[in-house]
Amino acid sequence: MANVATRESWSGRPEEEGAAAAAAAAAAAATAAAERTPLLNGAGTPRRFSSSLLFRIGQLSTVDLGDENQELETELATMVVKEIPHTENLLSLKYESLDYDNSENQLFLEEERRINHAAFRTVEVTRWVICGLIGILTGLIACFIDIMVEQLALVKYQVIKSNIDKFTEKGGLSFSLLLWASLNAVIVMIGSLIVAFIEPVAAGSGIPQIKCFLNGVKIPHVVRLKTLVVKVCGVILSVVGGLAVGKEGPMIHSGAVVAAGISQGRSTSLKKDFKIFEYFRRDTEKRDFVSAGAAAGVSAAFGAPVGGVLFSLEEGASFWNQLLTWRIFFASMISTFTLNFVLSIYNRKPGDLTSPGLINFGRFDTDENSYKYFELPIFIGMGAVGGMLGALFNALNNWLTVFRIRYVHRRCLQVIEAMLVAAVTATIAFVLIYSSSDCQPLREVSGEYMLQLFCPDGQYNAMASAFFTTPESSVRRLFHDPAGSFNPQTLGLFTLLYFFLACWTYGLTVSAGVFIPSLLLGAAWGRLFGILITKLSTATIAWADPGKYALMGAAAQLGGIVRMTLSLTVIMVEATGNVTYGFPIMLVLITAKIVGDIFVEGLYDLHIKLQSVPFLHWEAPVTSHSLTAKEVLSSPVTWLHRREKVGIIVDILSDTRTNHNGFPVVENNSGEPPRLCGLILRSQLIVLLKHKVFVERENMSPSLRRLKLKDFRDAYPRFPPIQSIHVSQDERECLMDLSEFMNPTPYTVPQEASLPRVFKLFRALGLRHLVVVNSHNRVVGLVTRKDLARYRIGKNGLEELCLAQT
Amino acid sequence: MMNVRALIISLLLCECCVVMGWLPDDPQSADSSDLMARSAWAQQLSLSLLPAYSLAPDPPVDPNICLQLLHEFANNSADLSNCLASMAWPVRVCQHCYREYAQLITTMEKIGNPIQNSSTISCATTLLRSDRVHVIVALKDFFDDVWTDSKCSSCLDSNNTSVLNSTAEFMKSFDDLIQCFNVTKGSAFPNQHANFSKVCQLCKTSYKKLNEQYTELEHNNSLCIDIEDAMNSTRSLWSGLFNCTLPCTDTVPVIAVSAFILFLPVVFYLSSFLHSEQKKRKLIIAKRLKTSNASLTHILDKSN
Repeated sequence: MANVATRESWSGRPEEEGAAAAAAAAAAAATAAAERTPLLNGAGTPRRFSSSLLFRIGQLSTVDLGDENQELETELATMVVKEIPHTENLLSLKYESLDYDNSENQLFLEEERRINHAAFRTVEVTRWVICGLIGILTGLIACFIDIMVEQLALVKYQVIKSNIDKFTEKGGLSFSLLLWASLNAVIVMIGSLIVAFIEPVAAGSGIPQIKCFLNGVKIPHVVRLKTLVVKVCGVILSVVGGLAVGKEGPMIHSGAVVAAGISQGRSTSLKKDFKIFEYFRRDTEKRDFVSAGAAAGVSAAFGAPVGGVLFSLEEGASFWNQLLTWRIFFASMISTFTLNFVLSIYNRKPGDLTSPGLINFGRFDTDENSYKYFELPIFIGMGAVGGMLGALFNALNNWLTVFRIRYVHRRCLQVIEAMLVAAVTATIAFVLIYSSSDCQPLREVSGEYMLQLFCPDGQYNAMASAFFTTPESSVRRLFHDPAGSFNPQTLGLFTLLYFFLACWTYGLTVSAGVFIPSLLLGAAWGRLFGILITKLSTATIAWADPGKYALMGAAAQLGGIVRMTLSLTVIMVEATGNVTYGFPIMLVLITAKIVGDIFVEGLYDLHIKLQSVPFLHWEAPVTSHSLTAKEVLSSPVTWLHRREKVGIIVDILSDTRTNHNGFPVVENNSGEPPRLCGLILRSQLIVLLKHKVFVERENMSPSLRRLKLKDFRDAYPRFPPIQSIHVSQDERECLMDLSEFMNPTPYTVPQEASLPRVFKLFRALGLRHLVVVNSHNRVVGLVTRKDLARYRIGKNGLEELCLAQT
Repeated sequence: MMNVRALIISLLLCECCVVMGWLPDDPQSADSSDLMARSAWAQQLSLSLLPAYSLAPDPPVDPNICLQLLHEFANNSADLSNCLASMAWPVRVCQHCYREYAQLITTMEKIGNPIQNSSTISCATTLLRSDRVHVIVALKDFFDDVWTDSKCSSCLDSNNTSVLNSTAEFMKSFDDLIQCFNVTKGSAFPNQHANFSKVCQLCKTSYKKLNEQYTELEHNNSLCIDIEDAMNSTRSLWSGLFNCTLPCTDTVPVIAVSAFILFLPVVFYLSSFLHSEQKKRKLIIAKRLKTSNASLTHILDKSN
């Protein structure tokens, strides 16, 4: 891309370059500004800032805009804001951090003093209760989805089957095709409409969003009740609509929303406050519960409680402790048990706990299922294939997603796109089934919807068994149907077409997951592989059970697409219920990840990038030690004095250009730059303004109720905007004393600290603001998430991303 | 009868072995030729070796009753195996063997029931649990397995006493159809595949009726192996031998419709590419430190 703002190899530059070089550089830069391609960051500066030096700095931080900017150069003088097409190398301003760090202000200390030891024990018990509730509700939601999908799919397939049967006899199968395609399109249209027009954040699997949330990014609307409702209905409709999607990924999102909702004891969407769990109304607690909810979701989706815990661990590990892990495990277990129990009642076998997850891989414990040591290299080879196919999948999907963001951004277009995909999916399936001559005799366990079509009576169309059903049962059939149920051509064609269908489908404006399509795809080519092994050799190979290879292929494909490691291994092992598979599955997943990472990142990471989310990875970019906090920070900082005039505060908060959230509080009259004494958040200021906590008012009526921490919690999580708070002209002249409310000991770093050091502090503590001070504790600047997330290792070493409004 | 006797003998020998293991110096057990007496003795002994509950005040079980039951079971199982084997092809086990099976079940229940009303001791202790192999239990399990696999209970009424009406009706239609096949085929040219179209015409209604009945039974979950097998053989006759399934293929309309649908996305993406306004992102200028010599060292970009 021409617009990628790169900056080449910072790290390679020797540190000794002195002031002379710097000066020369500055001069060179200044002269270069005229002739060289203008720079993104510098584009708008001349208007707004008189300081040309700032302009220059801004100019130099991002370079290499390439040909596209030649024309922009001439407009430089007139343009205020530069616009570029969406790319993956942007950071959006709309995402903020969660306030994971506790504000230890005086109110907090007072509350802690007031609550005795026993009360804290109650809080601990409450946490367990909440985790249990999270598990139960998540399990129930999973049941609901499962039952609804089963019932609706049954109706749909029965209608189509009877139609096809009728027209097979009389002729006119094109009507059946039209019926199938339009039925799919209509169902998907409803699903897509609710997502596109009611809650767009419910689109997709939700795993990238939850990953971001656990990473500490506040994604707007992601844990709202409305999102949950749209997500659940959307996923039912898209699975019933016959798209190449699964219902497992969305369970993770649903679990997270359930957790965020229950732990707050109220719903702001429904405007209902149950007056319980008030203690947990802050980001720290909420995020801990969300990790439990995500784990419960995984556990309900795959029947993998340990895998769920490890999923949360893999995605949000920096904020974990042992007790929290144990609670999350509890939630996971409760969730899978609830699902199992309710489904056993639904299946009229109460107490028969055989379906611990939404997807049931079936049992892998027969003799053919066991593997021999010499098969391990074969499995590793399959892992490599899975990695490559996964990389291809991701690259294609990435390209498609960029196209979608740029061109298919209008909501009605998104709905139409989803409908088209649904219709095309049905058409491809129909044509494949129509043209397939692979007939298999009906068996006891053949499946639910058998299409005969042109097969002799008493036989069914094998292609139909792969396409004419929900993806979950296709996966199960590929795993467990006896050898010879599918012929290689059928599987090959199926794999090829399903690959493109699944790739095309992911990223549509419907809520749907990618787990099942990946598994299905992998199971198809894995089974094909197993069949070919049997065919290639002359002797009968007893060990080449196609079902086993289907499983390994599924693992390889899924690993190649999502690139999860530890948690995915455990999930697969738990879903198969065979611990001896742990080793080969691990090998397969490791290989898939290594091979895939050579080409392109995992699907979720790609989508996070494309959403321009300031996501902090585990470590700072490896070659960034030469960068110091001084270069990373944002400056000038908007600060407040310990005793500040209300008018100034209101003005700062209402400034639309700078939507700051944390403000360093400095000592009055401490010179320039002033000395740091605390940090206060926008939300706190808004609550203070709302309650009019002004010095003058307190002086007038000392009996005034003192603000408590509860007042802040009550306003959480949707603090009113500053515009809704009315401050009269007289009040603007009042003073506010912030010392009681600010966090008196914010984390600070000296300005010489290196980027990895700052990064580590930020990531490990879940900070939102990090104040950079000089040796006299005077505020130099402020580091936020976006300042750190913009450094990334690109093709040419360290790159810096641009900030953009999205 | 031979196998029954062998069975009894082996059972008793087993018991005897157990006894021998415990009391090797007892001369009576070795040379006794009277089976009845020995068994009674052995049974009492083995009972006395059982834990406390066998020492309850209940009178000991009369061995004759148990032997009688054993005999009965042997006869029943022989009948049932005979029936199952002879009805194995074409499979008609459910319709023809349900009486034998019911009989076996009754005998088994008798073995399980206490002999005297007040007693807790039944022949089950003696016959079913006294040795390692549990021959009777194994036999019973085998028959049960065959019965469940055949899903016979779905064709019979609740007590396995009679065949369901629906099943009988189905079998009647089946017989009619076979009759129809035979008659039509016989009147035409036997052993020739060419001219079965007459079969297709004449028997179509019966075939359809049979198919409908089958679907209905399938819906009601009242399929057993008899019905399934009958239907399967009919279908393979119908499609395979007589070649009566001739579906209408309308490839051209299907290709036309699918080409139309597959063409739609192309139109969609092209039009949205050409007509939709490309989404632009507004770049924001990051605030950076104003006077920083350190950062100026990084300014010089090699590429320029």
